[in-house]
Amino acid sequence: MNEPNQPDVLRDQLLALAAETRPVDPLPSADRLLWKAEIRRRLTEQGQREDQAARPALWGWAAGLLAGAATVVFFLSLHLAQGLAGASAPPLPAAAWLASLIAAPAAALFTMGWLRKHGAEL
Amino acid sequence: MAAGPDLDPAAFTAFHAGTAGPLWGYLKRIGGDAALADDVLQESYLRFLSRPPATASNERERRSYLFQIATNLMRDRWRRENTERTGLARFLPGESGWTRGRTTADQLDCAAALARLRPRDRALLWLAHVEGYEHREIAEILGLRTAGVRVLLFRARKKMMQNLETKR
Repeated sequence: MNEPNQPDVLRDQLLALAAETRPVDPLPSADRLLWKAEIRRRLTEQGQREDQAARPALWGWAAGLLAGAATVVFFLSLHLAQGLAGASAPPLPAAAWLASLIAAPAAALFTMGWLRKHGAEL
Repeated sequence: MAAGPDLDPAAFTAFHAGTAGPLWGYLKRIGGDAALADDVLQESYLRFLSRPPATASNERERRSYLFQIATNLMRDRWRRENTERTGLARFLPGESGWTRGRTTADQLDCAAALARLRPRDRALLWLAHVEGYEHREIAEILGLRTAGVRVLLFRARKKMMQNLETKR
């Protein structure tokens, strides 16, 4: 880039300074840089693969947790609605009772297991 | 071992041979620290290899891209470590091995005058006058508007000349 209207003394001085500015220590060779770049690429790929492998399990845990929570909320709301309606309301079907009995402990157990596994990361 | 879509290892070796020295000089003069220049130079090449330029079709564009990476890394270092002022102090003559071998009084003056500029002004002057980049390329490297480079370069030159006059 030339500035035709400017004196060249500055450019000359900078060029002289550039010629004098040399590395104190040897610079890394091209081979060494290529090798380091390759190591970094492999490590990055390995990390990505591990992330991808862990992702379905994590989604499964999250989906299970949501399902358990939704089940608990659903049956609690059913019980609440029955309580508000009083004795005249028809009783809940046996299957619903059974499901509520299973779902709540299952959700609790799942949450405890999940926290034991991932609690340190939170 | 890939060196980018259009840069095989042999081509990278040639590219490295032609750019390592000038890039180190640029980093040393804008950063003021040899060890910092070493670190940033290595990281610049590694970034270059991991994210090769998508559009660079020739040596000059690749070189410009490398300088852009190096400038951004240097800027990140300054932001993270807030070492701009300490870097400037280290850059002053007599502080450390800021040059090697014989250095004339004019070069000493020039280095000191350059050191007293803001880092962006140092980079502007170096890229324009040592590396010979055009305004458009300087704008890309430094993340500036092309139209603004001419004015900024003019001001940097003016400040540099004032610093040189002050030294004499």
